[in-house]
Amino acid sequence: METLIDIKNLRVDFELRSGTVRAVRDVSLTINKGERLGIVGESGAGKSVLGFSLINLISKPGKITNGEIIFQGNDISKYSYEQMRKIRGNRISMIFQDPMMTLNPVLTIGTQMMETVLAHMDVSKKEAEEICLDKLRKVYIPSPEKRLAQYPHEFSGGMRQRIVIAISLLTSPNLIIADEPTTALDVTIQAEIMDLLLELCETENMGLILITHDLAVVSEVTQRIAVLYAGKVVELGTAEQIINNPQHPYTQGLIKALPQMAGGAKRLNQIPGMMPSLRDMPTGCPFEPRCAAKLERCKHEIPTLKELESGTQVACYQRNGGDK
Amino acid sequence: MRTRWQRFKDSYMLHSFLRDPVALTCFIILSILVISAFSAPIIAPHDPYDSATIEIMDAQIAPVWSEGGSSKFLLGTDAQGRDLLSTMLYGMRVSIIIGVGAVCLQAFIGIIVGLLSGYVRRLDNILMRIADVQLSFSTYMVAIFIGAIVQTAFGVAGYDKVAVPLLIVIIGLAEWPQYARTVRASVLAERKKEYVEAARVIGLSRVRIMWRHILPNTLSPVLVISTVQVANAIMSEAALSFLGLGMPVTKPSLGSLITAGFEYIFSGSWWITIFPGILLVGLILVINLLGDWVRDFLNPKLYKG
Repeated sequence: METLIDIKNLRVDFELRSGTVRAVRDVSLTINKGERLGIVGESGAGKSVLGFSLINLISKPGKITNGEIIFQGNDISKYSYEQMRKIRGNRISMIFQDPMMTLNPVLTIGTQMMETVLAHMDVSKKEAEEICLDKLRKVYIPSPEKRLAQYPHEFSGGMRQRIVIAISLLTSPNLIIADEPTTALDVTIQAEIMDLLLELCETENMGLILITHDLAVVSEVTQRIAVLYAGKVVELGTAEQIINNPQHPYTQGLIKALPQMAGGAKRLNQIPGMMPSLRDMPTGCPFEPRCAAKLERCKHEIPTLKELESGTQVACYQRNGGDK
Repeated sequence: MRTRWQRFKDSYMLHSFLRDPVALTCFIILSILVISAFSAPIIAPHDPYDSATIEIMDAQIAPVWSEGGSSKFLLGTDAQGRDLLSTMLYGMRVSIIIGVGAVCLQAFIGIIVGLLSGYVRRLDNILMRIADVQLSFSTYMVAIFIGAIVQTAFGVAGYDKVAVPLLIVIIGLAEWPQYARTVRASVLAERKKEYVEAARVIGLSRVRIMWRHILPNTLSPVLVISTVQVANAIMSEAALSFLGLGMPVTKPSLGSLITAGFEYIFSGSWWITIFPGILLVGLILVINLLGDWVRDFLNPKLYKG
C-alpha cells in the first residue's frame, strides 16, 4: 500500500503567558492511500488540534515545534503560508462540525463553490460550474442547478452539511479531515451523512481522517482507529480490534461508557476522574490517576506504543512489558 | 427561476417597508425632493445661474400670496432678484451632491481602513490612532482651516469652480473615522466566525477572504450609518456655507441661501431665509427617519422578535 500521509513525532505547543502547553505530544500516524482512520478521544484530548496541525492552521499561540508531516513525499509542516495555501482545499480538505457556521451567510452556494474551484484549478467559469453541479449530484442534492443560486439559510442542516462535503470534494482531494462532521446534526441525519462520506471515500479512493468522540460512528466508517488521550496516542489498531478487544484501560473505559453497554443498569458506566490539565501533566502515564489497573512504575515512567500479537499497538505497561 | 425583481417583491424588507407609514411617507417625500432637485434645469421656472435673466429690479419681491407678490415668482425673489423657488431647487441639488459625495468618500476611506485594521492586526494600532487623531479635530475646524487656505490660494473667482469637490473632500476627510470604527468592530466580530476559518481551509487568499467573505457581512451597520451620515454631511455643508466657507452666493446651496437671506430678515424679507430653512429641515428629517427605519429593520434583535 502506498503511503498518503506520514506523521512523525508531531508535537504542537501553545506558548501562553503562563507557560507552554503541549496539546499534541509526539504523535506518529500513517495513513495509506484511500484508507480511513478514526481519531477518538475525550474533549480536550487534542483531536481537533491534531487535525488542524495537519494543514498548518492551528490558532495563534499554537505552533508545531517538532516532527514532520510527510504528505506525498514532501514535509508540509515546513511549508510557507503561500505553499500551504495550494495544498489546503486542494489536496487536503476539511469538514467542520457545524454546517450552520461554515458557510458564509451572504454568499450563494454557487459563489462559494465556484470560488474554491477557481482558486485551485485552471478552468473557465463554465467548466467550474459543471464541476460544482457534478459534485452536488454526488452528494445527492436534488436539482442542483437551482440550488446554486440559493443562500445557505435556504437549506436544512443536513443539506448544508452535504454542501460542505460537496465543497470539500470539489478539487478531488487525496485526504479529507472531518472534524466531528455530524455532531451538530440530529441523529437520523447523522447516519445519512456518515454513509455518504463512506461511499464517497470508497468511490473516489480518498483518505479520510475522522475526528470524533462517537465510537459507534467511528467503528462503522473507519478501518483503523487511534485513541488519543491527553495529546498522546494510547492505542492504535484496526477498528474491529479496538471495539471488540480493547487493550488500553482508557479504551476499555470509553467502550464501557457507551449507553448500550450499560445493559439495563440504572446508571451509565463512566471513567472516574477527569483528564489531567495540560498544564500539569503527571510525570508518568497520563492516565495513571484514573486507571484501575495501574502498576507502580506507571507513576514515574511514560509507556510508549508497543505492538501486541493481535497487531494492535498500545501504550500501557499493564498490557506490554508490565513485568519487565 | 425567480428573478431578482420577484425575490425583491416577495421579500420581508419590502413587506415591512410598506407596512410602516412613516417610512413610506418619508420615502415618497425624499423621492420627490431628490427628483425635483436633479431635474431642476427642466422644471425650475428660472435659471439662477444665468445672470443675463436676472433683473436687480426684481429683488426682494414677496411670495405670490402676500402683499406685493408677483405671479412670476412663486416664492418671491432673493436680494439679487433671483427666483427663490428655482434657486432653492438648484441649491438643493448642490446640497445633495455634496452630501452624497462626501459620504461616498467617507465610506471608501473608512471601509478600507476599517477592514485593514480589523483583519491585519499589525496595522490595527497605527490606523486606529490615526482615526483618533482625526476624530479629535472637529469637522468644522478642519473645514474652516482647509477652506480658508484654498480660498486664499485660488481667490474668490477660482474658488467658485472648485467649491463643490473641495467641500466633498473636506467633509469626507473629516468624518471617515466613523466608518472605520464601525467596520473594524464588525470585522473583529466576523473574523472569529467559522466561515472565515473554512475559507482559509479552502485555501483562499487573505485579500479575497477580506473582500468577498468578511466585507459583505459587515455592510448592514455601514448602511445604517450611511443614511445618518448623508444627513450629517448636508448639515455640515449648510453650516459651513452659513459661515461663509461653503458654497459661494453665485452658486448657492441651501446653507448659503439661508445666510444670504439672513441679512434681510429684519428688513422684512423673511422668505429668503425661511423657505430654504424649511426645505433643509425637511430634507434632513426625512433622511433621518428613513435611517431609523433601516436601523430597526436591520437590527436582528427587533427583526427576529
